[in-house]
Amino acid sequence: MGGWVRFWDPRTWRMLSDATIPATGVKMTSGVKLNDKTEKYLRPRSAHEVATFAVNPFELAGSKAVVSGGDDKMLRIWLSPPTSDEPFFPRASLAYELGGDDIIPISVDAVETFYL
Amino acid sequence: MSAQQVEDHFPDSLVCPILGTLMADPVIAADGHTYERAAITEWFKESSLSPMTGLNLNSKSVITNYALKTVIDDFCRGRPERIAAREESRRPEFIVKTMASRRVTPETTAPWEFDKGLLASKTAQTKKPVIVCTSRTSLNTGEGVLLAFEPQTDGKEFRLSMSHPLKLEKQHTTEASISCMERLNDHTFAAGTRDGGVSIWSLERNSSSGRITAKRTWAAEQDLHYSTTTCVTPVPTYSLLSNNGDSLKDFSLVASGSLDGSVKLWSKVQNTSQWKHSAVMHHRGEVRCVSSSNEGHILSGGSDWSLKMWDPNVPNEPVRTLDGHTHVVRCITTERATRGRFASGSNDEHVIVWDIRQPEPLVHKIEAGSPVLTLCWETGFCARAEELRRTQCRERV
Repeated sequence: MGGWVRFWDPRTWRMLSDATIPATGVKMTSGVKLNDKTEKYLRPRSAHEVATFAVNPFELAGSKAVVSGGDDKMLRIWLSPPTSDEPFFPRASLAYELGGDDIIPISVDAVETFYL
Repeated sequence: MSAQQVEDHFPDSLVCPILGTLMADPVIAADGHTYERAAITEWFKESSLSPMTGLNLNSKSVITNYALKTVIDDFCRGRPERIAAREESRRPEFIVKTMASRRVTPETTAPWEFDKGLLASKTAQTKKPVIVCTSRTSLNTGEGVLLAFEPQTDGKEFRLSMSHPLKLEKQHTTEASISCMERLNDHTFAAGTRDGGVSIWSLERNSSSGRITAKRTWAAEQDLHYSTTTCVTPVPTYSLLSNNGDSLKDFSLVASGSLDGSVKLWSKVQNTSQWKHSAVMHHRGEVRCVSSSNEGHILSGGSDWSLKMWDPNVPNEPVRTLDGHTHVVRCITTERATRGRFASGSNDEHVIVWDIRQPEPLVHKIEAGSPVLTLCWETGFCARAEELRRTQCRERV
Protein backbone atom coordinates (compact mmCIF):
# COMPACT_ATOMS: atom_id res chain seq x y z
CA MET A 1 0.00 0.00 0.00
CA GLY A 2 1.07 3.58 -0.19
CA GLY A 3 3.22 5.90 -2.20
CA TRP A 4 4.59 4.43 -5.37
CA VAL A 5 7.86 5.24 -7.04
CA ARG A 6 7.57 4.04 -10.62
CA PHE A 7 9.83 4.23 -13.62
CA TRP A 8 8.85 4.90 -17.20
CA ASP A 9 10.74 4.54 -20.44
CA PRO A 10 10.61 7.95 -22.16
CA ARG A 11 10.98 6.32 -25.58
CA THR A 12 7.90 4.17 -25.37
CA TRP A 13 6.16 5.55 -22.24
CA ARG A 14 5.92 2.00 -21.03
CA MET A 15 6.19 1.54 -17.29
CA LEU A 16 9.48 -0.19 -16.60
CA SER A 17 9.24 -1.04 -12.95
CA ASP A 18 8.03 -0.30 -9.47
CA ALA A 19 10.36 0.61 -6.65
CA THR A 20 8.60 -1.62 -4.17
CA ILE A 21 9.80 -3.31 -1.02
CA PRO A 22 9.23 -7.06 -1.24
CA ALA A 23 6.86 -8.65 1.22
CA THR A 24 8.91 -10.64 3.69
CA GLY A 25 8.74 -14.30 4.59
CA VAL A 26 6.26 -15.39 1.97
CA LYS A 27 6.76 -15.85 -1.73
CA MET A 28 5.03 -13.04 -3.46
CA THR A 29 3.89 -15.08 -6.39
CA SER A 30 2.23 -17.93 -4.52
CA GLY A 31 -1.18 -17.74 -2.97
CA VAL A 32 -1.98 -18.44 0.66
CA LYS A 33 -4.92 -20.74 1.43
CA LEU A 34 -6.91 -19.44 4.32
CA ASN A 35 -9.37 -21.37 6.51
CA ASP A 36 -12.30 -20.18 4.45
CA LYS A 37 -10.58 -21.66 1.35
CA THR A 38 -10.09 -18.27 -0.18
CA GLU A 39 -6.74 -17.67 -1.72
CA LYS A 40 -4.96 -14.43 -1.02
CA TYR A 41 -1.67 -13.07 -2.15
CA LEU A 42 0.92 -11.10 -0.33
CA ARG A 43 1.73 -8.02 -2.29
CA PRO A 44 5.02 -6.17 -2.18
CA ARG A 45 5.03 -3.00 -0.15
CA SER A 46 5.18 0.17 -2.14
CA ALA A 47 8.01 2.63 -1.74
CA HIS A 48 6.31 4.58 1.05
CA GLU A 49 3.25 4.12 3.21
CA VAL A 50 0.61 6.34 1.67
CA ALA A 51 2.29 9.11 -0.29
CA THR A 52 5.67 9.87 -1.82
CA PHE A 53 6.48 13.54 -1.59
CA ALA A 54 9.83 13.80 -3.32
CA VAL A 55 11.99 11.87 -5.76
CA ASN A 56 15.33 12.71 -7.30
CA PRO A 57 17.74 10.76 -9.49
CA PHE A 58 21.51 10.67 -9.09
CA GLU A 59 24.56 8.55 -9.85
CA LEU A 60 25.94 6.12 -7.30
CA ALA A 61 28.95 3.93 -8.03
CA GLY A 62 28.38 4.49 -11.71
CA SER A 63 24.81 3.28 -11.51
CA LYS A 64 21.58 5.16 -11.74
CA ALA A 65 19.98 5.69 -8.39
CA VAL A 66 16.90 7.42 -7.06
CA VAL A 67 16.33 8.85 -3.61
CA SER A 68 12.76 9.18 -2.39
CA GLY A 69 11.06 10.57 0.70
CA GLY A 70 7.57 9.81 1.89
CA ASP A 71 4.90 10.20 4.50
CA ASP A 72 6.30 7.23 6.43
CA LYS A 73 9.25 9.42 7.49
CA MET A 74 11.55 7.20 5.46
CA LEU A 75 14.29 8.27 3.14
CA ARG A 76 14.91 5.46 0.66
CA ILE A 77 17.52 5.00 -2.02
CA TRP A 78 16.81 2.76 -4.98
CA LEU A 79 19.61 1.30 -7.05
CA SER A 80 19.67 -0.49 -10.35
CA PRO A 81 22.21 -3.31 -10.85
CA PRO A 82 25.40 -1.77 -12.25
CA THR A 83 25.45 -4.08 -15.24
CA SER A 84 22.17 -2.88 -16.69
CA ASP A 85 22.07 0.45 -18.46
CA GLU A 86 18.38 0.42 -19.22
CA PRO A 87 15.74 -0.26 -18.22
CA PHE A 88 15.99 0.77 -14.62
CA PHE A 89 15.24 -2.05 -12.19
CA PRO A 90 15.27 -0.48 -8.75
CA ARG A 91 16.26 -2.36 -5.63
CA ALA A 92 15.51 -1.14 -2.14
CA SER A 93 19.11 -0.59 -1.18
CA LEU A 94 19.24 2.02 1.51
CA ALA A 95 16.76 3.31 4.02
CA TYR A 96 16.86 5.88 6.75
CA GLU A 97 14.13 6.57 9.25
CA LEU A 98 13.95 10.23 10.10
CA GLY A 99 13.76 11.04 13.79
CA GLY A 100 11.07 13.08 15.45
CA ASP A 101 7.35 12.58 15.72
CA ASP A 102 6.27 14.39 12.62
CA ILE A 103 9.25 14.88 10.37
CA ILE A 104 8.24 14.39 6.77
CA PRO A 105 10.74 14.78 3.92
CA ILE A 106 9.48 17.31 1.43
CA SER A 107 12.55 17.56 -0.74
CA VAL A 108 15.39 15.17 -1.44
CA ASP A 109 18.50 15.77 -3.50
CA ALA A 110 21.98 14.49 -4.10
CA VAL A 111 24.80 17.00 -4.12
CA GLU A 112 27.15 15.08 -6.32
CA THR A 113 29.96 17.61 -6.55
CA PHE A 114 29.94 18.78 -2.98
CA TYR A 115 33.56 17.79 -2.48
CA LEU A 116 34.84 19.93 -5.33
CA MET B 1 -10.72 23.53 -19.64
CA SER B 2 -14.16 24.99 -19.85
CA ALA B 3 -15.59 27.50 -17.45
CA GLN B 4 -18.12 24.90 -16.37
CA GLN B 5 -15.38 22.46 -15.47
CA VAL B 6 -13.73 25.05 -13.29
CA GLU B 7 -17.05 25.78 -11.67
CA ASP B 8 -17.59 22.11 -10.79
CA HIS B 9 -14.22 21.81 -9.08
CA PHE B 10 -14.31 22.85 -5.44
CA PRO B 11 -11.17 24.37 -3.95
CA ASP B 12 -9.07 21.72 -2.20
CA SER B 13 -9.13 23.70 1.03
CA LEU B 14 -12.93 23.28 1.24
CA VAL B 15 -12.95 19.55 0.52
CA CYS B 16 -12.60 16.85 3.19
CA PRO B 17 -9.45 14.85 2.39
CA ILE B 18 -11.15 11.66 3.57
CA LEU B 19 -14.51 11.95 1.83
CA GLY B 20 -13.46 14.07 -1.13
CA THR B 21 -16.56 16.21 -0.78
CA LEU B 22 -17.35 19.73 0.30
CA MET B 23 -17.26 19.90 4.11
CA ALA B 24 -20.35 20.74 6.13
CA ASP B 25 -18.85 20.62 9.62
CA PRO B 26 -15.08 21.12 9.28
CA VAL B 27 -12.94 20.28 12.29
CA ILE B 28 -9.20 20.52 12.91
CA ALA B 29 -7.46 17.36 14.13
CA ALA B 30 -4.21 17.09 16.06
CA ASP B 31 -2.27 16.81 12.80
CA GLY B 32 -3.33 20.35 11.90
CA HIS B 33 -5.43 19.18 8.95
CA THR B 34 -9.15 19.84 8.60
CA TYR B 35 -11.69 17.07 8.04
CA GLU B 36 -15.44 16.60 7.99
CA ARG B 37 -16.38 15.89 11.62
CA ALA B 38 -18.33 12.69 10.89
CA ALA B 39 -15.54 11.33 8.69
CA ILE B 40 -12.69 11.87 11.13
CA THR B 41 -14.83 10.56 13.98
CA GLU B 42 -15.46 7.39 11.99
CA TRP B 43 -11.76 7.20 11.14
CA PHE B 44 -10.72 7.43 14.77
CA LYS B 45 -12.88 4.44 15.67
CA GLU B 46 -10.28 2.19 14.06
CA SER B 47 -7.10 4.20 13.77
CA SER B 48 -4.99 6.64 15.74
CA LEU B 49 -3.02 7.61 12.64
CA SER B 50 -3.43 10.83 10.74
CA PRO B 51 -5.34 10.23 7.49
CA MET B 52 -3.10 12.79 5.81
CA THR B 53 0.35 11.94 7.12
CA GLY B 54 -0.02 8.38 8.34
CA LEU B 55 1.68 9.37 11.60
CA ASN B 56 0.54 8.63 15.12
CA LEU B 57 -1.60 11.35 16.63
CA ASN B 58 -1.20 12.33 20.25
CA SER B 59 -4.86 13.11 20.57
CA LYS B 60 -8.11 12.21 18.85
CA SER B 61 -9.82 15.40 19.94
CA VAL B 62 -10.98 17.82 17.25
CA ILE B 63 -11.86 21.49 17.23
CA THR B 64 -14.44 23.15 15.00
CA ASN B 65 -12.82 25.18 12.25
CA TYR B 66 -15.19 28.14 12.42
CA ALA B 67 -13.19 30.23 9.95
CA LEU B 68 -13.38 27.57 7.26
CA LYS B 69 -17.03 26.87 8.06
CA THR B 70 -17.81 30.51 7.35
CA VAL B 71 -15.87 30.37 4.11
CA ILE B 72 -17.81 27.27 3.01
CA ASP B 73 -21.13 28.84 3.97
CA ASP B 74 -20.28 31.89 1.88
CA PHE B 75 -19.14 29.63 -0.94
CA CYS B 76 -22.48 27.81 -0.94
CA ARG B 77 -24.77 30.78 -0.44
CA GLY B 78 -27.33 30.97 -3.24
CA ARG B 79 -25.82 27.95 -5.03
CA PRO B 80 -28.16 24.93 -4.70
CA GLU B 81 -25.71 22.53 -6.36
CA ARG B 82 -22.99 23.44 -3.86
CA ILE B 83 -25.39 23.15 -0.96
CA ALA B 84 -26.37 19.69 -2.21
CA ALA B 85 -22.71 18.68 -2.41
CA ARG B 86 -22.14 19.96 1.11
CA GLU B 87 -25.15 18.12 2.50
CA GLU B 88 -23.86 14.89 0.98
CA SER B 89 -21.12 15.00 3.61
CA ARG B 90 -23.75 14.76 6.35
CA ARG B 91 -25.38 11.55 5.10
CA PRO B 92 -24.30 8.71 7.43
CA GLU B 93 -24.67 6.06 4.75
CA PHE B 94 -22.38 8.03 2.43
CA ILE B 95 -19.74 8.41 5.13
CA VAL B 96 -19.81 4.75 6.13
CA LYS B 97 -19.63 3.60 2.52
CA THR B 98 -16.76 5.93 1.69
CA MET B 99 -14.84 5.16 4.85
CA ALA B 100 -15.12 1.43 4.29
CA SER B 101 -13.32 1.81 1.00
CA ARG B 102 -10.52 3.92 2.46
CA ARG B 103 -9.55 2.10 5.60
CA VAL B 104 -5.85 1.59 6.14
CA THR B 105 -4.30 -1.48 7.69
CA PRO B 106 -1.19 -0.87 9.80
CA GLU B 107 2.04 -2.10 8.25
CA THR B 108 4.64 -4.25 9.90
CA THR B 109 8.19 -3.00 10.08
CA ALA B 110 10.35 -3.96 7.14
CA PRO B 111 13.91 -5.20 7.59
CA TRP B 112 15.16 -2.37 5.38
CA GLU B 113 14.67 0.16 8.11
CA PHE B 114 18.15 0.38 9.50
CA ASP B 115 19.17 2.03 12.74
CA LYS B 116 18.76 5.74 12.90
CA GLY B 117 21.91 7.50 11.82
CA LEU B 118 23.08 4.82 9.47
CA LEU B 119 22.35 3.91 5.92
CA ALA B 120 24.03 0.67 4.94
CA SER B 121 24.60 -0.56 1.42
CA LYS B 122 26.54 -3.41 -0.13
CA THR B 123 26.65 -1.71 -3.48
CA ALA B 124 27.77 1.84 -2.83
CA GLN B 125 31.40 2.14 -3.95
CA THR B 126 31.94 5.84 -4.02
CA LYS B 127 32.40 8.79 -1.71
CA LYS B 128 29.85 10.75 -3.65
CA PRO B 129 27.22 11.95 -3.35
CA VAL B 130 25.96 13.63 -0.23
CA ILE B 131 22.25 12.99 0.08
CA VAL B 132 20.36 15.99 1.32
CA CYS B 133 16.86 15.77 2.67
CA THR B 134 14.69 18.68 3.65
CA SER B 135 12.13 17.79 6.25
CA ARG B 136 9.00 19.46 7.43
CA THR B 137 8.86 19.23 11.20
CA SER B 138 6.36 19.71 13.96
CA LEU B 139 3.71 22.32 13.52
CA ASN B 140 4.55 23.39 17.06
CA THR B 141 8.17 24.24 16.45
CA GLY B 142 7.68 25.84 13.08
CA GLU B 143 10.99 24.59 11.81
CA GLY B 144 12.30 22.83 8.81
CA VAL B 145 15.33 20.59 8.99
CA LEU B 146 18.10 20.09 6.48
CA LEU B 147 19.71 16.67 6.79
CA ALA B 148 22.80 15.50 4.96
CA PHE B 149 24.06 11.93 4.61
CA GLU B 150 27.60 11.16 3.53
CA PRO B 151 29.24 7.96 2.34
CA GLN B 152 31.89 6.67 4.72
CA THR B 153 35.44 5.80 3.73
CA ASP B 154 34.63 2.23 2.76
CA GLY B 155 31.83 3.50 0.56
CA LYS B 156 29.37 1.03 2.03
CA GLU B 157 27.74 3.15 4.67
CA PHE B 158 26.06 6.49 4.74
CA ARG B 159 26.00 8.41 7.97
CA LEU B 160 24.02 11.40 9.02
CA SER B 161 26.50 14.26 8.87
CA MET B 162 24.26 17.22 9.45
CA SER B 163 20.93 18.04 11.01
CA HIS B 164 20.37 21.73 10.78
CA PRO B 165 17.19 23.61 11.71
CA LEU B 166 15.90 25.95 9.05
CA LYS B 167 13.80 28.81 10.28
CA LEU B 168 13.43 32.52 9.94
CA GLU B 169 14.68 34.56 12.87
CA LYS B 170 11.89 37.07 12.57
CA GLN B 171 9.24 34.50 13.45
CA HIS B 172 9.41 31.34 15.47
CA THR B 173 5.93 30.24 14.66
CA THR B 174 4.26 27.59 12.63
CA GLU B 175 4.07 30.03 9.75
CA ALA B 176 7.84 30.10 9.35
CA SER B 177 8.31 26.42 8.73
CA ILE B 178 9.81 25.27 5.46
CA SER B 179 7.21 24.19 2.94
CA CYS B 180 9.37 23.53 -0.12
CA MET B 181 12.97 23.46 -1.18
CA GLU B 182 14.94 23.12 -4.40
CA ARG B 183 18.61 22.92 -5.18
CA LEU B 184 19.97 25.84 -7.21
CA ASN B 185 23.55 24.69 -7.63
CA ASP B 186 26.00 22.40 -5.87
CA HIS B 187 26.00 24.29 -2.62
CA THR B 188 22.91 26.44 -2.70
CA PHE B 189 19.23 25.86 -2.06
CA ALA B 190 16.16 28.02 -2.32
CA ALA B 191 13.38 27.45 0.21
CA GLY B 192 9.79 28.53 0.58
CA THR B 193 8.00 28.93 3.89
CA ARG B 194 4.45 28.64 5.14
CA ASP B 195 4.25 32.37 5.73
CA GLY B 196 4.80 33.06 2.03
CA GLY B 197 8.50 33.73 2.35
CA VAL B 198 11.41 32.80 0.11
CA SER B 199 14.97 32.30 1.31
CA ILE B 200 18.36 31.20 -0.01
CA TRP B 201 20.59 28.74 1.88
CA SER B 202 24.14 27.64 1.29
CA LEU B 203 25.99 24.54 2.44
CA GLU B 204 29.51 24.96 3.73
CA ARG B 205 32.07 22.50 4.98
CA ASN B 206 34.38 23.51 7.79
CA SER B 207 37.86 22.69 6.53
CA SER B 208 39.19 21.77 9.98
CA SER B 209 36.30 19.89 11.55
CA GLY B 210 34.84 18.59 8.31
CA ARG B 211 31.35 19.40 9.51
CA ILE B 212 28.74 20.61 7.09
CA THR B 213 26.71 23.62 8.05
CA ALA B 214 23.76 25.29 6.42
CA LYS B 215 23.66 29.04 6.41
CA ARG B 216 20.78 31.22 5.33
CA THR B 217 22.29 33.86 3.11
CA TRP B 218 19.13 35.77 2.23
CA ALA B 219 15.44 35.91 3.03
CA ALA B 220 12.77 38.06 1.44
CA GLU B 221 11.58 40.76 3.80
CA GLN B 222 9.08 42.37 1.47
CA ASP B 223 6.97 41.35 -1.51
CA LEU B 224 6.28 38.02 0.17
CA HIS B 225 3.48 35.78 -1.03
CA TYR B 226 0.20 36.26 0.81
CA SER B 227 -0.06 32.56 1.56
CA THR B 228 2.12 29.44 1.78
CA THR B 229 4.94 29.22 -0.72
CA THR B 230 4.34 25.81 -2.27
CA CYS B 231 7.20 25.55 -4.74
CA VAL B 232 10.50 27.12 -5.79
CA THR B 233 12.71 26.51 -8.81
CA PRO B 234 15.85 27.91 -10.41
CA VAL B 235 15.29 29.51 -13.80
CA PRO B 236 18.27 28.93 -16.09
CA THR B 237 19.19 30.75 -19.24
CA TYR B 238 20.85 29.16 -22.27
CA SER B 239 24.30 30.13 -21.11
CA LEU B 240 23.76 28.55 -17.73
CA LEU B 241 23.21 25.06 -19.07
CA SER B 242 26.09 22.65 -19.35
CA ASN B 243 26.87 20.88 -22.62
CA ASN B 244 24.69 17.92 -21.86
CA GLY B 245 22.04 20.22 -20.56
CA ASP B 246 21.35 18.43 -17.32
CA SER B 247 23.31 20.40 -14.78
CA LEU B 248 22.99 23.99 -13.68
CA LYS B 249 26.35 25.68 -13.31
CA ASP B 250 25.06 28.99 -12.06
CA PHE B 251 21.82 30.77 -11.45
CA SER B 252 20.50 34.27 -11.15
CA LEU B 253 16.75 33.80 -11.20
CA VAL B 254 14.43 31.91 -8.87
CA ALA B 255 10.69 31.48 -9.31
CA SER B 256 8.33 30.74 -6.43
CA GLY B 257 4.67 29.71 -6.47
CA SER B 258 2.09 30.09 -3.76
CA LEU B 259 -1.40 29.18 -2.61
CA ASP B 260 -2.21 32.86 -3.17
CA GLY B 261 -2.24 32.11 -6.91
CA SER B 262 0.91 33.99 -7.79
CA VAL B 263 4.26 33.03 -9.26
CA LYS B 264 6.98 35.44 -8.24
CA LEU B 265 10.33 35.91 -9.86
CA TRP B 266 13.37 36.77 -7.77
CA SER B 267 16.61 37.97 -9.37
CA LYS B 268 20.05 37.98 -7.83
CA VAL B 269 21.65 41.37 -7.28
CA GLN B 270 25.06 41.23 -8.92
CA ASN B 271 28.11 40.91 -6.67
CA THR B 272 26.02 40.59 -3.51
CA SER B 273 24.18 37.84 -1.68
CA GLN B 274 20.96 39.80 -2.04
CA TRP B 275 17.98 38.99 -4.20
CA LYS B 276 15.10 41.20 -5.26
CA HIS B 277 11.55 40.67 -6.40
CA SER B 278 11.42 41.34 -10.11
CA ALA B 279 8.10 40.11 -11.52
CA VAL B 280 4.80 38.49 -10.61
CA MET B 281 2.53 36.20 -12.65
CA HIS B 282 -0.94 34.99 -11.81
CA HIS B 283 -2.97 31.81 -12.03
CA ARG B 284 -6.71 31.58 -11.46
CA GLY B 285 -6.16 29.43 -8.39
CA GLU B 286 -3.51 28.03 -6.09
CA VAL B 287 -0.08 27.44 -7.63
CA ARG B 288 1.19 23.97 -6.72
CA CYS B 289 4.30 23.57 -8.85
CA VAL B 290 6.87 25.56 -10.78
CA SER B 291 9.71 24.52 -13.00
CA SER B 292 11.66 25.99 -15.88
CA SER B 293 12.04 25.00 -19.49
CA ASN B 294 15.39 24.68 -21.21
CA GLU B 295 14.53 27.85 -23.09
CA GLY B 296 14.40 29.87 -19.86
CA HIS B 297 10.62 29.95 -19.60
CA ILE B 298 8.91 29.48 -16.26
CA LEU B 299 6.39 26.64 -16.09
CA SER B 300 3.67 26.65 -13.46
CA GLY B 301 0.63 24.59 -12.63
CA GLY B 302 -2.04 24.52 -10.00
CA SER B 303 -5.67 24.28 -9.05
CA ASP B 304 -6.94 25.92 -12.24
CA TRP B 305 -5.90 22.64 -13.93
CA SER B 306 -3.73 24.41 -16.46
CA LEU B 307 -0.04 24.51 -17.14
CA LYS B 308 1.24 27.98 -17.98
CA MET B 309 4.48 28.97 -19.64
CA TRP B 310 5.85 32.41 -18.83
CA ASP B 311 8.54 34.61 -20.32
CA PRO B 312 10.30 36.22 -17.32
CA ASN B 313 10.78 39.39 -19.36
CA VAL B 314 7.07 39.66 -20.23
CA PRO B 315 5.24 38.44 -17.13
CA ASN B 316 1.86 40.05 -17.77
CA GLU B 317 0.50 37.23 -19.91
CA PRO B 318 1.59 33.60 -20.23
CA VAL B 319 3.37 32.73 -23.44
CA ARG B 320 1.25 29.60 -23.62
CA THR B 321 -1.45 27.92 -21.59
CA LEU B 322 -1.47 24.15 -21.87
CA ASP B 323 -4.74 22.40 -21.13
CA GLY B 324 -4.99 18.66 -20.77
CA HIS B 325 -5.28 17.87 -17.10
CA THR B 326 -8.70 17.57 -15.51
CA HIS B 327 -7.72 18.27 -11.91
CA VAL B 328 -5.06 20.07 -9.89
CA VAL B 329 -1.59 20.02 -11.50
CA ARG B 330 0.77 18.87 -8.73
CA CYS B 331 4.22 18.56 -10.30
CA ILE B 332 6.31 19.43 -13.35
CA THR B 333 9.65 18.04 -14.49
CA THR B 334 11.75 19.13 -17.45
CA GLU B 335 13.83 16.86 -19.62
CA ARG B 336 17.15 18.68 -19.69
CA ALA B 337 18.55 16.72 -22.62
CA THR B 338 15.87 17.79 -25.09
CA ARG B 339 14.63 21.27 -25.70
CA GLY B 340 10.93 21.85 -25.40
CA ARG B 341 10.04 18.67 -23.55
CA PHE B 342 8.66 18.36 -20.05
CA ALA B 343 6.07 16.34 -18.11
CA SER B 344 3.39 17.18 -15.59
CA GLY B 345 1.52 15.13 -13.01
CA SER B 346 -1.89 15.77 -11.59
CA ASN B 347 -4.59 14.74 -9.16
CA ASP B 348 -6.43 13.57 -12.27
CA GLU B 349 -4.21 10.46 -12.03
CA HIS B 350 -2.34 11.12 -15.25
CA VAL B 351 1.13 12.14 -16.32
CA ILE B 352 1.19 14.27 -19.45
CA VAL B 353 4.29 14.60 -21.60
CA TRP B 354 4.49 17.91 -23.42
CA ASP B 355 6.63 18.97 -26.37
CA ILE B 356 6.07 22.61 -27.21
CA ARG B 357 7.90 22.24 -30.50
CA GLN B 358 5.06 20.11 -31.80
CA PRO B 359 1.88 21.56 -33.32
CA GLU B 360 -0.05 19.58 -30.74
CA PRO B 361 2.09 19.91 -27.59
CA LEU B 362 0.36 17.12 -25.68
CA VAL B 363 2.42 14.23 -27.03
CA HIS B 364 1.52 11.52 -24.54
CA LYS B 365 -0.87 10.97 -21.68
CA ILE B 366 -0.01 8.20 -19.22
CA GLU B 367 -2.67 6.77 -16.97
CA ALA B 368 -1.28 6.50 -13.46
CA GLY B 369 -4.28 5.18 -11.57
CA SER B 370 -3.74 7.47 -8.62
CA PRO B 371 -2.76 11.09 -8.00
CA VAL B 372 0.75 12.01 -9.10
CA LEU B 373 2.46 14.10 -6.42
CA THR B 374 6.02 14.36 -7.66
CA LEU B 375 7.99 13.69 -10.84
CA CYS B 376 11.59 13.70 -11.91
CA TRP B 377 12.99 13.15 -15.38
CA GLU B 378 16.42 11.68 -15.90
CA THR B 379 17.96 10.58 -19.15
CA GLY B 380 17.14 6.91 -19.43
CA PHE B 381 14.26 6.82 -17.06
CA CYS B 382 11.46 8.90 -15.71
CA ALA B 383 10.47 8.36 -12.09
CA ARG B 384 7.00 8.94 -10.86
CA ALA B 385 5.74 8.90 -7.33
CA GLU B 386 2.13 8.95 -6.47
CA GLU B 387 -0.39 8.51 -3.79
CA LEU B 388 -2.15 5.16 -3.83
CA ARG B 389 -5.87 5.15 -3.51
CA ARG B 390 -6.59 3.41 -0.27
CA THR B 391 -9.34 1.36 -1.86
CA GLN B 392 -6.58 -0.77 -3.30
CA CYS B 393 -5.34 -1.73 0.16
CA ARG B 394 -8.17 -4.01 1.06
CA GLU B 395 -6.76 -7.07 -0.67
CA ARG B 396 -3.69 -7.16 1.49
CA VAL B 397 -3.28 -10.17 3.74
